[in-house]
Amino acid sequence: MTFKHIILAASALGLMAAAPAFAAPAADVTGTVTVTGSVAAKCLFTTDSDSVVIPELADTTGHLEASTVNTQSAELVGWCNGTASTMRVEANHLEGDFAGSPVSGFTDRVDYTATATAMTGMEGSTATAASDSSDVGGAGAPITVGLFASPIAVTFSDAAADGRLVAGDYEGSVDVTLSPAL
Amino acid sequence: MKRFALAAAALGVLAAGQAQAATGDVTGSVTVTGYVTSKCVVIPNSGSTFSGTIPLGELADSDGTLRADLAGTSAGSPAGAVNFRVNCNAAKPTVTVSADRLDNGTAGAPSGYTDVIDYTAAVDADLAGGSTESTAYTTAASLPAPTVQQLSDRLANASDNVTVKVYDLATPSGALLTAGSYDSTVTVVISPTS
Repeated sequence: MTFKHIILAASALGLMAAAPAFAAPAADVTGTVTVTGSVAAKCLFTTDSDSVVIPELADTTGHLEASTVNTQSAELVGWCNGTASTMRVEANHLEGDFAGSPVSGFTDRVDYTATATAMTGMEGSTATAASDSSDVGGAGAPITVGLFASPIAVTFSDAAADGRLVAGDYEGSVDVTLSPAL
Repeated sequence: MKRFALAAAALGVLAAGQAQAATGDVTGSVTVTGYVTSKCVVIPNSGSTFSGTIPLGELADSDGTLRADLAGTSAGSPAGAVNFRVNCNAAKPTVTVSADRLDNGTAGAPSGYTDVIDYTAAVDADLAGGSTESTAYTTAASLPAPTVQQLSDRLANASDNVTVKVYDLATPSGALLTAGSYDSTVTVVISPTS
């Protein structure tokens, strides 16, 4: 090997040593952090009670004046955050405080239908109603309200009594139930 | 005669010396080199990725709105955090952070409701000099570009030198959260180069 050959060989080694320093890419690290949380399905009444006062149920003939019941209304306010949430209504008839059994032709019971209407849908503009008749035991069929936050209007209809009304104080109730579900 | 012999010996030495000089010396010089590639690695295992989860649990208060204690969190008192160790040999690594909104995956929410939660994600980097530098990113309806910050010092050679945290959760005022599971992803890139 001549001196010239030695110089060339040494230069080649020098290039080989230097090359990786420029070719090797910088190494990044990448991290992924998952943030999780959940919201349980729930419903809540922000106004959970109201009252309806009917000053006189009977007309001048002693029979029920149905309009005195059918024109009444009440308002609750509530919301549900689950897409499958439901609402149901149970109407409990008006019953007088007469202690005994009414004689023939009289009654101390007034039945009616109660309807609860919530405003649902993406814009809160869809009226969704559930109802129940007090002459049928138990609550009415539940209806899906999904996500909503609105007043719930309670209205009355189909008031009826089987005979003249016995004098006294009458009391009934309407129960509106919101059930959360996803 | 004795003097002649000495002279002959001296000549012999001279002759021998001239013979070596004529052959010529060679001198070899070998340079030893090495290099250290600029890089960041995840410890343990020297990998290039790390991952973790920050579980926030129930997001809503009993009134249906975002939990007040989540809304009130801050960089100094985050809602959740997770630690990692990243070794970088660069003088001033660069941290890039981005995230998407906490979303329950449903298609929109009705009026008065929300199914997304904005928040701030931040990466706290412990530095070799003892200080900590934070790189923060806040989500929005239109996600901003990732936040990029070059650190002012080397990363500390220590465990848990990188902390990813979330805080300052926010929804529209008074909005009710729709029920369901929410998730989001914070993406962090730590680069040895600027």
